[in-house]
Amino acid sequence: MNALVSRRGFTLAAAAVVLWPATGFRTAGAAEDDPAAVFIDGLGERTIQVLRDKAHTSFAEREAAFRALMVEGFDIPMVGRFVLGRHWRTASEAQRREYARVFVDFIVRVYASRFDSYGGERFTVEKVIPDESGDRIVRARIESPGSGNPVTIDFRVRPREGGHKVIDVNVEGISMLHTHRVEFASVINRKGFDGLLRELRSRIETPVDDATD
Amino acid sequence: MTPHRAAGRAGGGRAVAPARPYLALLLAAVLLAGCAAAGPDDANDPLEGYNRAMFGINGVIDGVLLKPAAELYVLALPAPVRRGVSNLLDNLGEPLAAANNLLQGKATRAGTSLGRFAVNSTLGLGGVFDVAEGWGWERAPEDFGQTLASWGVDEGPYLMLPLLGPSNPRDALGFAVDWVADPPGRVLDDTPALARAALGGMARRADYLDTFEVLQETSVDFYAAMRGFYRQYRANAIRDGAPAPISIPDMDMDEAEGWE
Repeated sequence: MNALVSRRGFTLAAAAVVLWPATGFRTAGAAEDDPAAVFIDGLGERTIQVLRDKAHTSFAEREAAFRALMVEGFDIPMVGRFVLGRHWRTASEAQRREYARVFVDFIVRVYASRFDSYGGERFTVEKVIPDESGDRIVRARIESPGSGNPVTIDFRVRPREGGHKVIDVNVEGISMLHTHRVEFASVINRKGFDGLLRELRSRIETPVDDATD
Repeated sequence: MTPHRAAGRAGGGRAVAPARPYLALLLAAVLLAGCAAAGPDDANDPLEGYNRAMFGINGVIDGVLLKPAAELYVLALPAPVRRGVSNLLDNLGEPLAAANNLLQGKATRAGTSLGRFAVNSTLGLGGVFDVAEGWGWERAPEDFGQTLASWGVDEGPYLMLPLLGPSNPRDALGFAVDWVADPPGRVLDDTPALARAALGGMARRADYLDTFEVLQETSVDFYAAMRGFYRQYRANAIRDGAPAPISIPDMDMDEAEGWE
């Protein structure tokens, strides 16, 4: 029985990865003045704006809006480099260039697809947990009116020139950075670096249907 | 399992449980004995060939059975009713959570689980409504796999179980112990116990119909992604949700030198 319970929590976490951008981003009192919290709150607010026009926009248009948000709010070069781990070292110059090019498209497609399926959830920035490394972990919470338990999301935010950048999104303990890293390593081990590039390209090239709901 | 089980670990250890669960425990213990520790970056998957095959089989079973059942469930019942069903099933899990909290020495969390069970079983009309949540008594879930982890037992190699999905020897052993010790499970006969398990699986699957599809579409290696999800999810549950103590060095794609 309990494996079902843990499995449920597991699927819940997986779901939250998809559902994090939700309606009604609000900051709880304690975190209100923290610049990192304000940054995440703002990013969330603008994500909602993109999703609010869903009935009048195509997926391609929303994806373009997400791209702008992500390029501004996420440290994509760092994320792309980190998720390759040691395989960066063995890649050729041409492979690195190609990877840098397709990774941006890939990560935007991944998040845009996941964001786009949001429901009527409520998003609240709860608190900021300082990390030993100097990162700020902004903890937010998603509550769904329909079903399920509240879900905790940690945004790992790193101070950067003139502001902040998100370097990881962690949902119920599941780090997107870590997940992509083990996933990419698995593909490279089985199909080589060019195999990874092929997989990334095929994800980008798969058309996404416009949601009809 | 059998309807007339005597009390086990959680119930005070009065008598002997039937042989079948013991076999499962023995098997899991044997598996546990051969396990070495692994780092978080390690795939920890020496049985990958078997695991991928079982992952494929589970996927087929999901496609023909679990997913269609979950879709029917969503069509048949409105969201508030489904929420009530999930609450009811969660509530039945509270005594076990309390026992595991106690075994880990977490008295406050054990009290929360028991308090939730008392409040929701009465004011919450048998657990259909989560009244305690509204009072700020949030769920404090624990299972015996987590209890073993708190006692220092290593997870062992990643293991895909038939039907039950991602696991490892520690969590499989934990599952067997929880199944035997679960107080409501000891009261229920075989048929309602299986119905509870089936309903639970269907309700869980129903919550995430779209989610899994999107995850599958956006993964470059769905199997490896799920493995990563499971291991991180369990580690997080063992930490009771505290942020993972990791540091991520600065780097970017302009650097030529390697970093590990």
